Amino acid sequence: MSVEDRVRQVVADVLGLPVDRIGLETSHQDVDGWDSLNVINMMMAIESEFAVELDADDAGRLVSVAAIVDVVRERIG
Amino acid sequence: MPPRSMNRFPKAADYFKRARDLEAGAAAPDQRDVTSVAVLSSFTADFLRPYLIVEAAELGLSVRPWFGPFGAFEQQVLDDRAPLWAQLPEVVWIAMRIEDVDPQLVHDLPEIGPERAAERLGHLRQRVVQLAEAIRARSTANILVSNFACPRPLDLFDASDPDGLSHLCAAENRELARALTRITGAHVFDWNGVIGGWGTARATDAKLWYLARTPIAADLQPVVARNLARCLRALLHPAAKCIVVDLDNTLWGGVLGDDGAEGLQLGDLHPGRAFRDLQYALRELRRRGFLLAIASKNDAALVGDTLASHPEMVLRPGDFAAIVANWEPKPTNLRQIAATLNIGLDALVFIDDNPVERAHVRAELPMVHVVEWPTDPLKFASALADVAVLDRPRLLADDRARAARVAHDQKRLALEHGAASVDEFLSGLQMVATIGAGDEIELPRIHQLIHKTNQFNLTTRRHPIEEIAQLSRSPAAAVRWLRLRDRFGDLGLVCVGIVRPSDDGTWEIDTFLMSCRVMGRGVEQAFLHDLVRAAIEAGARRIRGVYRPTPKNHIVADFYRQYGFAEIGRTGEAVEYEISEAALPSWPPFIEREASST
Repeated sequence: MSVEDRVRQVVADVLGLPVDRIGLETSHQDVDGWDSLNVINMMMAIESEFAVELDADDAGRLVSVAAIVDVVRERIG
Repeated sequence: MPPRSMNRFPKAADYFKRARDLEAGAAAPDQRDVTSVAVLSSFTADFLRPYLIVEAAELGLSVRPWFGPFGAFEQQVLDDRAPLWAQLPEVVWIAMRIEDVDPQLVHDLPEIGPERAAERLGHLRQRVVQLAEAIRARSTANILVSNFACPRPLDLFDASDPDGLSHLCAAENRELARALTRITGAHVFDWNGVIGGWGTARATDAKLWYLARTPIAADLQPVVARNLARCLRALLHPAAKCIVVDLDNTLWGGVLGDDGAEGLQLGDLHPGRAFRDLQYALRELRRRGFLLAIASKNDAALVGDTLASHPEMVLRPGDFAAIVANWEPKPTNLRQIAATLNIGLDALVFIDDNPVERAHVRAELPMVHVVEWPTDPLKFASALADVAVLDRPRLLADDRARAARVAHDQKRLALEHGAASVDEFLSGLQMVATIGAGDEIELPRIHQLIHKTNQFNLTTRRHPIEEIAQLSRSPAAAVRWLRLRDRFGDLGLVCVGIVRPSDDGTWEIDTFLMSCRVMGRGVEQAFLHDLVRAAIEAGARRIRGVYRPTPKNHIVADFYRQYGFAEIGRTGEAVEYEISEAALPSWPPFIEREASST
């Protein structure tokens, strides 16, 4: 599975939405449940999915699927 | 998810997904057995939600967790209209950390000295104890109170100072444990042990702490959840009673039939040490009141010889309540063991290195707890420690005596064969019964019997401990128990009965149960006589008894009829009976009655 697809799946699992409703462009403005609590949950889920470690500044960047994909790409190099 | 070991957890996203599925299932209208768990914490604990739901489900529990706003303890507990009470919690977990409620303590210690520091810790302890007392006063919920993990980092020489913070915390934890033993249904949640077991240094992820006020690192979340789930299971369900082990490559290394006793791996040399350590661990469990049994495909005589005479053997024949060595299928032998020991198959834990045997037992006897056993003997100890059905909230003196009692039962059996008649046999037992009512000291044992007695149990009503306490304090009800001893030893508290007024001079027997190991000795008749008499003395004109059938209690289906009750009607499956004083069964002559000392 591509990085994009894996991120979409993680976001879907954390938010409890079907994965086909999550696109690259999906952002915190489109989804009610994408709140501060779930940003932290996404952080933990992304770390666990990709076996990477994010830092505190990354939390502020987890605002859309595309942005999360960028963060992950930076970490996995 | 497949069976897992302590060290393998699914990914975080899998927990989210599975937790949602489970929550949807728990919300279905036909789903009744969902346990409401309320968490009051000094930190953000909400992240535990999916982990707790999934880990509890792994242990067969459906839970609905609720997390109070962090730091709000008294506001929730002391206000009857607070959201906490709207949850109707069955379990409340008070999770207070030193770092959150007295964050300066570590930094102040060098200035204020140990006495002031101990005083400040004492305040925290009193605070959680008072919370527990306030919960007890308002609800019948089980209460878990986190003990204190010493805040880190401390300097390396803190532990050299007998008044250092680590020792002060340890002393406070002991006081906490003591204080909670005085509150019915309250227990320590070993936060200190969970954090220490995982490793203080990696327990907290600084980023999660500073961003989200959660001190639990991502990979520790499922571990905390699993430990909490194990506590819940132990509080809400009975523990297993008997551990059934295989022999070859489980209790010892090698195959007895092929390698001979002298060729077995057992003793001080690797890998024999790992097998010996498993035997030590099993012996410890036996001493804690669990029964041990053997189910092995082996020659019985050879097994007996080896257990008795192998110089390195830790467990000897006398340690096992049943030894079944033959070539029958394991499910057949497990059935035989359960029947011999007079316990249900669901009270068995099965340990076998052979995955085929495990699969066979799982398929044929799904109620048996089959442990996913590792092939590597070095992993045996942790596999045994992971068996959640061996968790029990506290050790009762009666449990410890149970294993010893089985040996007595064998002597009793020998006596039975030597007696000319049943009456002669029963007289020869020199039974002495003590009956008491409603005293606090017997509550834990009464509660335990109410929750684990399946066969000789007329109504199988699993009252929570607080309800039993309430009933026993109430003047218009009787909670009575019977202790039995005979010439072979003390059998402990074996009967529990609850009788309460129902309507217009009729009292109903809410609960009547007896431990199966004293069946057929007239004890049930003695206890029934006493319970009915007690109700009549309290003003009852008629006594009603109800038999509520379950898959396990058919042995008492005819109990009331046998003792002179008349059937008066049926409600669904339940059968109702009544008796008046004239028809009361007499106290059997071969049981001496002793006045209760309490």
